[in-house]
Amino acid sequence: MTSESRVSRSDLLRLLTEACELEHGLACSYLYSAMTLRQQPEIEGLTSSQALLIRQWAAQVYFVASQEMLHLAQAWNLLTALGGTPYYLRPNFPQNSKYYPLHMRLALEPYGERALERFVGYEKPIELLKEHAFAEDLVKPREEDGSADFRSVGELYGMIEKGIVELPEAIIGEPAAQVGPDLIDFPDLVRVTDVNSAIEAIHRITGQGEGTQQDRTDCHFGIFVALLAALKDERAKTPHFEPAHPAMTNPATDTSEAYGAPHASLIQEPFAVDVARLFDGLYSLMLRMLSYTFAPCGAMDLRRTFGELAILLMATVLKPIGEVLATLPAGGGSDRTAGPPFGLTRHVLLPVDANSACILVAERLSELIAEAETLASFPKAPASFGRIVGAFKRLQDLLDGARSTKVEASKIVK
Amino acid sequence: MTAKSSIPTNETFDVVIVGSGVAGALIADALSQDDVRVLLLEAGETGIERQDMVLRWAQASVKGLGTPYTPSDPAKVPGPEQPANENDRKNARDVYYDQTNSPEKYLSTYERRVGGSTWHWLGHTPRLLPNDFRMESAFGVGADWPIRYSDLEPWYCKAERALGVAGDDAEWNDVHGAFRSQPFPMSKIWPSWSDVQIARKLKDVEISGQQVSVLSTPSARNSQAYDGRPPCSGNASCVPICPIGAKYDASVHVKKAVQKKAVLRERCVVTRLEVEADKTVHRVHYKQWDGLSGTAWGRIVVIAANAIESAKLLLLSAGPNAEKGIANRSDLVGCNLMDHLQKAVLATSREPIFPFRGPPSTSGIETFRDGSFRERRAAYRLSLGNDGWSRAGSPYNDVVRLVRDESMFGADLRARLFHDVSRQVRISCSVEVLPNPENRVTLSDQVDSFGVRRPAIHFVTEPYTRTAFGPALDTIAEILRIIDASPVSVDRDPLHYTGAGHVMGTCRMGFDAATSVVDQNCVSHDHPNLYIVGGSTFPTCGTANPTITIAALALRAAGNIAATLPRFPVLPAKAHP
Amino acid sequence: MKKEIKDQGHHPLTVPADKIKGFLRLSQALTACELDPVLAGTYFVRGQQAFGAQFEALINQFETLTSQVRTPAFVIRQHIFPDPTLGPIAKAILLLWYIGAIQNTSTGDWQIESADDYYRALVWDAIGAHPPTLSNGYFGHWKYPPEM
Repeated sequence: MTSESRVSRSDLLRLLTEACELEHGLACSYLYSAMTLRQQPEIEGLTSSQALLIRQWAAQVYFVASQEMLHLAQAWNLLTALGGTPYYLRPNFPQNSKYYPLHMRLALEPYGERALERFVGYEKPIELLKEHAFAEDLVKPREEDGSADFRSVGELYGMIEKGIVELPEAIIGEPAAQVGPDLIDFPDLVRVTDVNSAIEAIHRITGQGEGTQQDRTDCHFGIFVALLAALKDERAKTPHFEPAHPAMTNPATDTSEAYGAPHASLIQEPFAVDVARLFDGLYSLMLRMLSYTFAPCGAMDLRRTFGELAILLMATVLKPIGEVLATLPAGGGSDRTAGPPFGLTRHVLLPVDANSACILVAERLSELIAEAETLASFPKAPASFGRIVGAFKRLQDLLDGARSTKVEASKIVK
Repeated sequence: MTAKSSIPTNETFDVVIVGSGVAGALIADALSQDDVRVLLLEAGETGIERQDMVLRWAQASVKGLGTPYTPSDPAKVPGPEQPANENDRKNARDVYYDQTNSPEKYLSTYERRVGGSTWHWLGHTPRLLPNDFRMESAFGVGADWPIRYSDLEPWYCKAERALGVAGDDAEWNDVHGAFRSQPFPMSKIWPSWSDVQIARKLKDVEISGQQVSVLSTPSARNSQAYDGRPPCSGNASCVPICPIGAKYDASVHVKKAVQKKAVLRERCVVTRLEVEADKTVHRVHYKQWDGLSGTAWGRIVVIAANAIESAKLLLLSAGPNAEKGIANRSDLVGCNLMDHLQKAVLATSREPIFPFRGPPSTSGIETFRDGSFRERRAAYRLSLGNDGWSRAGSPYNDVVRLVRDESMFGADLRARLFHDVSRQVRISCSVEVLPNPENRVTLSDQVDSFGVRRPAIHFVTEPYTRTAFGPALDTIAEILRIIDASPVSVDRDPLHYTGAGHVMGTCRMGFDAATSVVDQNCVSHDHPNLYIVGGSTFPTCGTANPTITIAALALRAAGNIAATLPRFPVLPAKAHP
Repeated sequence: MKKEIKDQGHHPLTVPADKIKGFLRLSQALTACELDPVLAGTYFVRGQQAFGAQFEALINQFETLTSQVRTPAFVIRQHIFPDPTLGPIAKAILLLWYIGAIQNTSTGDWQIESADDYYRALVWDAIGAHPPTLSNGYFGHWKYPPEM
């Protein structure tokens, strides 16, 4: 496909799914590294000054991750506006560098200079790419099939924007199906109802990622550049300064899963494996709820409830479990800690029917709570695990509360 | 940026600015943009690195507003937050202000350092309301400003962009008629869990016949990376210091100004201004910390030293050509000192609301900031606290009580502590004060540790303000009832209030030289090249935190300064002082 | 009296480990928390400085009674807290862990020795929050309940 020929709707949908996979993969990468940053200075002998720095760095990376999630949500809105549905699959880690034309190796790595250099590369705007360490890989065009060729995330969105502008009647999705801040806690989420709002949405994404030619400071690229410099500074002062737990790279609980990637690091210590599986189960449930919120035909109240639940799950359960995993020994002779695998496994989408969807979520949540309670009762369970169970139960209460206000099954968005 | 004894002490600049707080910093930056030669004089210093200030505060046994900012030599720049003598720390304010003849104590204080009091402000930036600018016309009280809300509105937008203000456009457009012509530069600071619960319960509720809504408070606090500073991560320490610079402080614009070649001289205490025969004020005399004296000469001189210090300086400069002080033919310099007077109501909610997280306040109730009642009594603004009963010493006092009085320990103590503290609620009211010429700053006969006369303050509240506390507390009581929270004992005495840190008045703006100090462009009526900026110039104060209004006025004044600069010739080299 | 900014992560242990063990056991019984042995060393020294011989008497009493097959909680509740001399010291130790400070009985001021003491005070975690200036969060986290 050359740049002359117009991009079709199915081309656009496919490009957007690539964008979704990328944003999703980036979000997980960033989250992983943030979760490995140390939290208990008194145990690990860090000074208060270092503790302050580390938590400030963690806050910045979590912030960037939250914006990637916003970008993913925005891409879902774009998909629905074009007549598609939200796409949240992605290859498991580590991702083959040849998987995208981008040639970026997406990986789960503990916070450190290598991870930060990688992050700088992901967000780097095209004209600065030549200076980058991974430049060789990053600018190599793909030889295989005739799919679109892009060398940076910014270019990918550029192609999507051009395609939308040139496609007659691009926006065919129902406006009421679009998700705005009233349905989920993303204050800057744009509802895509016409070509202008589609362009606005795309510009926001690229502005936050690689910035603009005039200003590269406040975007993700600028933030990671600054974080990398700060880490190097601190290392120059204290050579053995280690802000992160020694978590594995690309942990997995099972390397033979359907979406599994070869070359993952297997977690072997049984307790850590169970906690990692719990993490993956929660992660998957969260994605299914988000998918319901963003799909064009769910019941409005339930879309809102699942949106709230998914965010609460992420903030109050997934995040602390991920952080616990970064402290648990991986076992199997490794000197590393486990880390959260973000493993996507086989599952079904939630049904459109509100009652059925609630039943599935409530049952799955109960199962996961039961698993968590069991794990919390183990002697080697860290103290925070009990609290995580508490947060979990609060989610269950929220869901029960929403169900008891009689969500009408027939309240389907027209 | 350290002051050296060998720096030139007789220099000429296009503009000399006294004070590097938010007003001085913004003006220095705006002017330096256009190759105007600016000197920024600061009595205080830059101090140590931010992180070190945080650690200094963390390890302090007594933690106050000024704790992170202890000057390297406090005797050189004493102030209401920094005593010359460390033993006076707990009553620094009373050691500095001379209030022996004051019926009530003026309670608000400020910092004398590069960046000024914005280092420890909360960061809230609600605008003044249209009626706040026309109190006399609308309600027959106070005074009218010589400008309207609509005159200042475009400058509010610019100020919000300069400071980096986060807010919600949908919520705030047209609140009490305050229209917004530009969106906020950033989307709002997220409300706290507590705010959300309260807002839910107050939905569709009316109190005193008015719809009560909870609005996110616009703040100069980043909700995303902005201007090279990170987003807020909820360190909950805005007052007194943001460890990461997500909250704006004026050192931001001081740095920008210096990058654009403005000259910053810190540790220079300005002691006197001098009037020329032609009524211009060009000479600014200062004394450095090391004892050496200096004089700077400016084509235009800007006084930006906060309402108390600016008035003090103008009065100190009395002499031939200026018997009552500089810019004081009206005899109003120092008069009409104002503050916002506050009361906090502490309560216990039925359900946990998880305080001590996030900025100390993220939402408020703007409903009662305007209305016809202002003919009879003051307006008030309500803010929802996220900081539990910290004003009463929580959470430390709670642990002490449970351990000492109830002999609790172990898991029981932990559970009980969580149970009690997680339910701590605070709702505060902030009441406006009318300008009153009797509320004034004069010069004490006593000098401070640097040999400069201390500010003497006379302050008294009027029935207009005192009678507003009752309705404000009643409203809070009603809100607490609706949200199922029970107040701890409420002090209804109108003489028991706290200061907001909003030092305003003393050099007010007006059309008439007989009843004001500066004109609508912040130029002294008496001296064509003398600007006075900042909270000093407010004729009335409404119920809004003053900083964004100060910033808007400063940017507007900078435009005027640039435009009028050509009128004032560069001093010929021969005539150098 | 100006303090240098003290920010030491490692407090050199000059006190014999076995004495600290007793103190650590007492502290863990008082707080029901997993405690950092290094911090315990620092607090041991502070306890000695503040309370002198009675401090060690408290630890000895606790060790003796708990070795007589009585649970630590029982010992604290029935023997230590009611004791007119040892009770206030035990409570002061508990408060030291929770607040990071010891109260000066003559001035009434609470004395913190270093930034570490402030940050490691147990009270913040107990209430589901964090020491101001060291939030464990990210933008917006205050909208959701704490990870409790």
